[in-house]
Amino acid sequence: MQEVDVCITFCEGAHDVAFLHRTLKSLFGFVEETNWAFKDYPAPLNVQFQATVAKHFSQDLSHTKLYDFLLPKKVLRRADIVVLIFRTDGGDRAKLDRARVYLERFFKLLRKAQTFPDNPTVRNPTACVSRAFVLFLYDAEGVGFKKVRETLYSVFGALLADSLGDGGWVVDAHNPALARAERSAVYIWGDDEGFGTLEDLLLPIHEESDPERFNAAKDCIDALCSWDIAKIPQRAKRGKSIMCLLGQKKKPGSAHSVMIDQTKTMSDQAFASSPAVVSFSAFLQDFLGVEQAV
Amino acid sequence: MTDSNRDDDAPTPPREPWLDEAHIDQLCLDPNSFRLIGLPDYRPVPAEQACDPDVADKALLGLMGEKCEGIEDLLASFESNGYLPSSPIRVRDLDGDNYLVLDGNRRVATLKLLAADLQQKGRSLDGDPMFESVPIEIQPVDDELQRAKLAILQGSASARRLGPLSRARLIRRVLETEGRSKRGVAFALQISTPELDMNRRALALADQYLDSRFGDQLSDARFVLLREAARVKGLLEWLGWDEAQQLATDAEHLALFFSLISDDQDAEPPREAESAEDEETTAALNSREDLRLFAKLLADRRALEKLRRTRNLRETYDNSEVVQKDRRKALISALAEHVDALQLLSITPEERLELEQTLNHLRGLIVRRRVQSGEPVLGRQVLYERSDRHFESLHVDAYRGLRGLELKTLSRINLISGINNSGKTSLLEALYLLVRQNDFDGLIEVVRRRGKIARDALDLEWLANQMPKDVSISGVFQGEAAEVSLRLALEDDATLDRSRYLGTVSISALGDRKRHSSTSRLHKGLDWQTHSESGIRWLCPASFSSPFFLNEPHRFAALYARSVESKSKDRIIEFLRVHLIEGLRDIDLVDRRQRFLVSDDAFPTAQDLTSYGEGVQRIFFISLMFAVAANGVLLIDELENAIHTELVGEFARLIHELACRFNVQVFLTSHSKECVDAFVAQAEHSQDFSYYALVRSNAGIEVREFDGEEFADLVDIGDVDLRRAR
Repeated sequence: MQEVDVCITFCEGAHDVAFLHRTLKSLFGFVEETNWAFKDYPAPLNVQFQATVAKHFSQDLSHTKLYDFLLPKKVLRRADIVVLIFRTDGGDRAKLDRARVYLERFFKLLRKAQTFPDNPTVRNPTACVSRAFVLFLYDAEGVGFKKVRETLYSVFGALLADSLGDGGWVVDAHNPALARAERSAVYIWGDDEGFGTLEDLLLPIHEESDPERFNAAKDCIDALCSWDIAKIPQRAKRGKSIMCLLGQKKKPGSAHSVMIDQTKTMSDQAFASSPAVVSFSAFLQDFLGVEQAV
Repeated sequence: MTDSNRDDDAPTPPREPWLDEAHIDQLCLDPNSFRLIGLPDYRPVPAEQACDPDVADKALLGLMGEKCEGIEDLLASFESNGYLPSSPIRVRDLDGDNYLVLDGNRRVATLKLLAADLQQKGRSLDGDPMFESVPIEIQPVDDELQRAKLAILQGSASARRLGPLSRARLIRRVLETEGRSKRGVAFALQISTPELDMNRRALALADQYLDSRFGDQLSDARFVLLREAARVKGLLEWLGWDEAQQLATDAEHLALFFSLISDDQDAEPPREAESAEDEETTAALNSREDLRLFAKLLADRRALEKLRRTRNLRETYDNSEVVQKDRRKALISALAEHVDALQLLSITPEERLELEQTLNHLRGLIVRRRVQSGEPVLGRQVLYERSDRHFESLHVDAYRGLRGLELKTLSRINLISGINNSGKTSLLEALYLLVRQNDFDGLIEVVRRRGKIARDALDLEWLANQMPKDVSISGVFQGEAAEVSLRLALEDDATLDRSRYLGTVSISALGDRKRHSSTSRLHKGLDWQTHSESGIRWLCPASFSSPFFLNEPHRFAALYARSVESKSKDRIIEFLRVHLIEGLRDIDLVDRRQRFLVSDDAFPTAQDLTSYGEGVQRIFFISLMFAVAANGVLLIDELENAIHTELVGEFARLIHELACRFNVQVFLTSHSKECVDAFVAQAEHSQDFSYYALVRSNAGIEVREFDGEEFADLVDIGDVDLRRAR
């Protein structure tokens, strides 16, 4: 049975999922496993997902809610590294607690994964998790890097210390958006001042990819609505609207997260050379121990 | 003259002419009349005081009785016929004017009563010869001794004439005043010397009774009880009787005895009494028969205490262990005699059938009694009658396929699972051998169970071949180390019959900090002989259930008896009724056939339990076993066998309930995930459970161990299967 490392990633929303997916796919050569059944997941994820789904379906059949969160939005793999991307749909305490409960249950199973690599429903596992990594990708919003980190640590710190042996996150000396320990890390999106959202990183990439179209889309959006861009939520909404507009020919009617992941409104070259993406990729390379593919 | 006009109280005087007549007022009743000396408040009075009004009134009242019952017959006769002097009233002169009545006190008392009645009605006695001229015979000398003897002799022929207390006192008076030897007096009074002695002791007891707080209750009826007490040697000894002093010296016993023969308002009311009206304070001992039953209880302190409390002699007697022991002894002796007698007779096939039924009945009786007595097996002693912690860990150094297997944290209920041939049953057997310490029978049972061999079909040659060769098991029980090891060897002893000798099994055990060993020799065609200097010891009560061991009904008879005794049977019946047999009313053991009969509303007559499904039987028998294993361990192999998966959950709940109720540590094996999950589902008690998976690896059989909460989490999160542990 193959031993693999797994990185469990909690993102705030769909745009984070799309950004991470594009980063791992385009820069690191990860492949999305779109056809995996529960039995294909490395133990103990196989039994955890199967039992969770079975239990929730048998109890209340609220499968839409279940799918919302308890299963990963995307699964990517490269050799013996598997990245699971979960979406918490926000960073408030209740949603973070749900993520913590999931992690607690995962770690309980992980401790006995060698003893119970399968269950009567999912049998003959091909891989087993040997090491687990945990990554949090959230927006700084108006509260800033520090406050978001503190909130996340208050929810997950004890569990990570107990399960991974991580003593606490240390803020990177050259990148205030990053704080990490050996097996867990938090990467927060924001501007140079330490506030804002992922859009603050993405709009420059769009502009770099096609300045003319970017300005046209910006003018169009600004003409349609008035924005108080001093306010971070309005700034983020404006950015998302611009990105949406840019991709309408390719993906008409779709959300900006679709544009991030499934269109080239951000060109590969501009994406790869973006200082923000470069910093983030460098962190991933070091954190996961995997070389960039390009 | 009519018969009713005779004073039966008086001896028949010699026929002599009348000497005189006297007025009724001149006649003084004898305050020391033999009729009066039996009264509780009798005290001797000098004859010269007989005419004193108080003395005279007391004598009159004593002779009449409170409701004239003492002279009832004479009153009726005198009122209808007048006084007909058939024989003279014998008197002696007191002061020349008054006379003391020696014989005829009842007649004089009757005349005095009638006279007083007339005077009260304002009528004069003058001119009425019945009162003015009572015929008397004046005695120059009063030979009281002779009169006493006569009264005793006549009284002995007719108890009606003289009460037992009066008679006893008269005898004592004669003995004390005549100056003759005891034998001489006995001869004169035509009674035996032992009776004379008994009479003396009874009166001494009566004197002590008079001095007690019950003294005013002394009567002829109670004196009869005291006389019986004086007759029964065991009772006298119990009272601390001092023959020289004529005194009962055991104050505590005497007080109890006096209380029991009296109406005692201070007696402790029985606990069962619901109201003051239910309180039993009347005498508990009322007849000589009661005294004899009471004497049989004297060696049973608990019975005496119960009698003191309940004052119910029959119930106490029936429940007395000493009495029952005597009864059992007599019945067993009679049974043995009858069996001896039967051996001399030829038996027909029909009679043989009846005998076999009786034998079955007897076998069940023996096993049931054995269990009821608290001894797992005769001659065996349990080291820990009660344990709070039971087994805390187990180490199987060597037993069959198990090597170095360790269970570190045992709980109240321990569930062991694994694939086939992973050693689950061996683990239970190892545990059982550790409990049975140096008891060779435990090893036999394990081998028989594995081979599915009934005890009466056991072949010792086969047994010797099946014996595990290398056994070493240890654990911690109630905080103390426990061990057992076994060695099978061939002895060199030249005195052994080599043609039959199969081998010797030596067992060495440690329990309660002491070493226990035994040596058992096996011979072909014979039973085995076990020798142990230390005696056979068990760690604790234990019971072992396996699905293939249902062919020894007498085992279940014992379980049944204990369950009935502990009242757990009712709970088991309720469980079966709710979950399996809707119309179930009861399940009873029929001793004669050693079968269980089910009373079920669905059938007009009781059905044999075997006509129901195997699952019903399994649940019933396993549940019964808890009472036998109380305060010990219960081993259940393949719990789910024959039990429907949907019922396992409810049964698991019952097992937990019974394990707590009887303080039993349970070890059970299972092949079934549903069974394991059923125990896991009892989340509110998860701290009472541990789970173990036996896993085959290249290194042999290993154990994976989980505490209840941890395993419940694993099942909840990943639906893991204990059987599939790696």
